[in-house]
This record gives sequence, structure tokens and C-alpha cells, in this order.
Amino acid sequence: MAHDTTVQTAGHDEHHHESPVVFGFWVYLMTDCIIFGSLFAVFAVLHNQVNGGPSGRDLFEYKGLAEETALLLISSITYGFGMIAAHKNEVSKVIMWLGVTFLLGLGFVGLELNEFAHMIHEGNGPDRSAFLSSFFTLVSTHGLHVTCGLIWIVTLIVQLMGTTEIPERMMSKLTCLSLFWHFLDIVWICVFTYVYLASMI
Amino acid sequence: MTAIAFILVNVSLFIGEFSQCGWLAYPPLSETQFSPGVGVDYYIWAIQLSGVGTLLTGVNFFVTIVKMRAPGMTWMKMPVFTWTAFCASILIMVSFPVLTVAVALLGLDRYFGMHFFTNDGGGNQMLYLSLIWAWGHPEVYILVIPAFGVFSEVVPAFSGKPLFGYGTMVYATCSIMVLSFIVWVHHFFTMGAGPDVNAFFGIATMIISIPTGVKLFNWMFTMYKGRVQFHACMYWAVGFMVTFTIGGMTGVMMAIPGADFVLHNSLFLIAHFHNVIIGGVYFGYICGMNFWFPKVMGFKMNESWGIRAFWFWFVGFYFAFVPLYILGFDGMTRRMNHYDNPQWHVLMLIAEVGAVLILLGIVCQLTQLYVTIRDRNLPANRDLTGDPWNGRALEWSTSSPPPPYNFAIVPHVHELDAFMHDKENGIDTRCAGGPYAPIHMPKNTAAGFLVGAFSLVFGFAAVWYIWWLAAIGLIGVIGTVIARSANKDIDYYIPAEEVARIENEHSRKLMAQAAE
Repeated sequence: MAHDTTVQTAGHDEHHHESPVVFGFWVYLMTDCIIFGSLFAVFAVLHNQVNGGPSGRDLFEYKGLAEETALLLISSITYGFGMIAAHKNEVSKVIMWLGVTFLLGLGFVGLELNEFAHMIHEGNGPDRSAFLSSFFTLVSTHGLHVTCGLIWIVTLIVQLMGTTEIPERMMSKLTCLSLFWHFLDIVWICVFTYVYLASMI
Repeated sequence: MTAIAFILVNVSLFIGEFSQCGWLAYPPLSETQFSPGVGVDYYIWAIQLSGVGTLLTGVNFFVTIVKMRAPGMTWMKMPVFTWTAFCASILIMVSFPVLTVAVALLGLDRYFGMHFFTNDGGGNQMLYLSLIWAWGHPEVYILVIPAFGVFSEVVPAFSGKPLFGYGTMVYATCSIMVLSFIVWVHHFFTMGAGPDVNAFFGIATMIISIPTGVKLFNWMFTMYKGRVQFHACMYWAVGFMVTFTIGGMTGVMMAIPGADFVLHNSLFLIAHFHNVIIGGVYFGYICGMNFWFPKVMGFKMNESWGIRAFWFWFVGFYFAFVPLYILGFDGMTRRMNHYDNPQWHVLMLIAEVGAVLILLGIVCQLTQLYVTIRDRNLPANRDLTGDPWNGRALEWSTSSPPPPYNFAIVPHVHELDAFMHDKENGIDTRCAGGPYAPIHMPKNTAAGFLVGAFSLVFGFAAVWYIWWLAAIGLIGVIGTVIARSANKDIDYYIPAEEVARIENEHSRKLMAQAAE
């Protein structure tokens, strides 16, 4: 879906256009941000509608939450290391850091699924109350984004394998994924504070 | 994506059923409890899939306009049509994600038994109304703002004058864009938000009429003392100015919450939104089609049939919808399958005459298309210069239809109405004769088509709960995107000699025309 420049005179030295792909992806992320914003609004409206069931205070546990948060935040740092390596054109290091990021992200998704399975097993699934519907939808939308990020990381690792340098197009892909991954971190911080901490106070 | 959503809706006519919950599928009627069939599911997936397409288009236009303007094309030198496309793109990017969420939550209610909008479990139907109209109101401006842009190109071209008040036109467009986000509650004043909330949204709604009025006066002052040529495009444009103004004023009437309590869900409302959507959006895009048709196809549209179509539409519109305004005042509500009040009958018959006149208008339009294509090779209909209307913006400086690369040498923009400025000052916008450089072009790709096809499979399977098929569709979409990302062969160059050949041929045609 990457639309290249329609009109760009080649060999024009004085007008070297910067690729609009990264900017376009950033704009796209802002629309994603509105999706999360709407889901937060929905959660804000419905979080007291427990329908006689458990509230956030009854359900959420500090321990798993701290682990999830730690994994995701550290994965942002490791991705940053990957980007530094990419700017130095060190392909093998980029692959290594992408791999570490992937494992941390996978751990995050695993812990989240575990938490969900536990809640559903106790009869507190998304169909229990409006509060739980909005909780599961908001948190799993974030989780689904992380999963997409994981698929994306694998794709880029495979594309990087066997190459010795990082061309411009690959660099813009890595930058887009970098934006995506850090964006998900920021969303998680909002989920963490507004959904979990605020419910537990 | 729009095309596959269209296909999905049409498939529902033959396999299963389509939603019977009105335009916006309000819960609780659209919940499983009251609509157990697949109709609402077709609705959900059609909306979601075309929504993705719209959103990506919005991002695409926005980035193109921000990043890829010609040298010298500063913001306040952009054609107004580009400005309106820009504002519509912003509206798309901000409002469509909200639609995605609203319809997705309805889907979660239906597919997983969740409780966002259900009667039980703590659900809240007002939340759906707020979400869907937080998209729905900006959406009507997404429809009409580009039409305003069309008129802003057409009226100056056929008045032989620059647009009156370019700056105010831009600011008015941007004001409408911002205001459209703070008026959505006027779609449900009667649902008990309370007087304070209703007053805020009522006043915000009325304020929109100010920038819209600015635009109307700008178009009229553009015509004032101009050398107006009554081409078919101008018929649609002037018809729009008259009709849309009436629609706008009835809108302001309904923006008064007290009046809306009387008019809500009556035929007055129906008359109002047809008044703005036919008089604004429909007239606008037909006007634009008549205007840009030769640029795209290389031959002009037949004018007499266009004018006939206009008159049938214009007169038919008033016959069809003025009675509806009156019936709305008389208390007739929308969506009635029969009525017993004999006083309404005469007005309904008049409205029916209007509907027949509009049908004749549509027949004239189809005839216009037929005659246009039949007579495309007549010398009078060919557009050899690429500039049939003495146009003002840069697209008229290329041949019709334009070459694949649009501009052989990207023009430098010095003034507003760049092409007209160049013509008046004897500057050759095309830089005919070169020197030409090879032009970098994107290759055609099947990726978009494949993503669409797999999405269709996914949507259809999801409607019918065929999960293995849905999985194939989803994997197909993801696989296509990954394959496209791995494809390194995405561009090519048009060699300079080829560019020179195409350009010189166009120059020859231009000179032949000038000699005549």
C-alpha cells in the first residue's frame, strides 16, 4: 500500500524529496490513536456498570500487571538499541535486537492471554457485564496490536537475513515499526494507569 | 475496499438478507435479541471493510497534499479544490476510527454476547448514538466539502474572474471542518440530554451557517461583473446556490432544540437532508463531472442533454421535497407504510410528480452519457488543447487525457491560479522542448486487488460464521501485504526520449489548434 511519489524527476539534485512513507505512517498511527481514544471513552462510560458482578478492584492483580508492564517497556528499549544498530548499518546486531524485542513482546502477549484465561475461567468473561466488555475490548485491542507488531518483526527479520547492508526502503520500514512499537508502549501506559491503577485505588 | 463492500451488500440480496435497522443500525433493534438474522452482520462487515478503504484514502490524500506539492505551491496558493480535499481528508482521519469502534462494539455484542449497547448487563444505547454521530456529522461534511471545492473551481472558470475572497474561502472551509465535530448531539436532541447540552449543540450548529454563508456570497461575488458563460456546469452551480441555501436555512430551523422537538423524525427532516444532499452533494459532483470529464477522457460531455437533465432535476426536486416540508409541519412522520389522513394525500401526489420529474432527469443524464460517448470523435467534441474552458489551475496545462507522468517538468508556482497567471504573462508552464529527464514511476501492483478479494472472502465468511474460510481470508490479506513488502521490483523509469516524444506530440497539437 506504499504509494510512491507520482511525479518525481529523477536526477534532480536540488529537490531531493524525503520519502513521505514515514510521515504517512505517523499520520496513520494518529488515526489509530483515535480508535484507542474512543475505546477509552467507552471504558470511562461503562466502567461502573458491573451488573452485580466483580469490579476492577476485585479482579486485577499487581504482580502479573507489573511483569507485563516491565516486559513491554524493556522491549521498547531493546528496539531502540536495534535502531541504533540500524543507523550504524550493523545488520546482525539489528536482527539480534529485533529477536530480543520479539521475545519480550511474546512474553507480554502470553501473560495477557494467561490473565484473560484466568478471568474467563472464573466466569468473569467479556459477556459478564458492560464493564468487563469494555475492559476486554480495550486491553485486547492493544494486545492485538502487539501481536501484529510481532508478525511485523518476524517479517523484517526474515527480510534482513542474508543481507549485509540496510537500504533506504528497509530503513523506512524499521522506522515505521519503531514508531508503532513505541506508540503501543504509550498506549499501554495509559491502559496501565487509567484501567488498572485507577480501578485499584 | 469500497467496491468489495458494495459487492457484499449485493450478495446479501441473494444469500440471506440485509440489515433492516435503518441507516445507522441503532441498538437495541440491531442487537441479536431483536435482529437474529445475518442482515446486521452484512451491514457491519460492509461498513468496516469500506471504512478501512476510506481511512487509507484519507491518509493518502493528506500526506500527498502536505508533502508532495509542486515547488512554490505554498498553502495559500493551493487551488480551493485541493484545500477542500485536504479538509475532507482530515475529517476522514478523525471521524472514521470512531465509526470503526462504534460498529466493532456492536459486532462484539452480536458475536460474543458482550454488553455495550444491550438492554441488560449494563449496556448503554446512548453511547452508540454518540459514537455513531460523532462520525456521522463530520461524514456529511466529508460529502459536501469537496463539492464546495468543485464550485470554487467551476464558478471562476465560467465567470472569467478569479475566485472572490480566496482567503475567506479557505478559512470558511477550515472553520466548517472544526465545527463539524462539535454538533453531533443535534441528531438526537429529543433523547433527553438536557437543556444545557442541547443549547450548546444547537448554538454550535447554527454557527456553521456563518462560514457556509461566507462561501455562498463568495461564489455570488465571483459571478458579479464577471463574463458568465452559461455552460451546463454553471447551471448545476447556480442551481446549487439556490437550493442549498434553502436546505441550509431549514437546517438552522432544526438546530433550535425547541423546534426540533416538533420536527424530529418528521418529513421536514427528510426534506431538509435531501435538500442539502441533492442540492449540495449531488449537484456538486455532477457539476464536477461535466467540468473535468474532458480532462480525464479527452472529449467533452454533450451539453444540451446536460442542461435538460439539470432542469428536470431542479424542477423535480422542488416538486418532490417542498410538499414534504409542509407535510412535516402537518405532523407526518418518516418511514410510514400507510397513512389515513386525506389532507396529506394531495401533497403526496405532488411529491410523486416531482419524483417522476427526477426520474426523467436521470434518464436525461444516461442519455447524456450515451450521446457523449457516441459523438466522441466529432471534431467539436475533442479536447486537443487540454484546456477547454480557459482554466485557471495547473491540471489544464497538461494534455487531455494527461500522460502517465502528469507533468513532464514539474511546474514552478508563482501565483494563485498558477496556470492563468502563466497564460496572462506569456510563461510556458509546460517548459515545452525540455530538456527532459527520465521520470520515476511506481509500477502497477495487484496487491490492492488481492487485499480486496481476500477481504471479501473474510467478510462473507464472518457473516456466516464460517471460521475456517474467514481464517483463509485473513491470512490472505496479511500474506499479500507481507509479499508486497518483500517485493523489491516496485518502480521504473520512463526514459527522457519517451517523455520528449509525448510532449512534442502534444506541442504539435497545440500549434495546430492555435493555427486554426
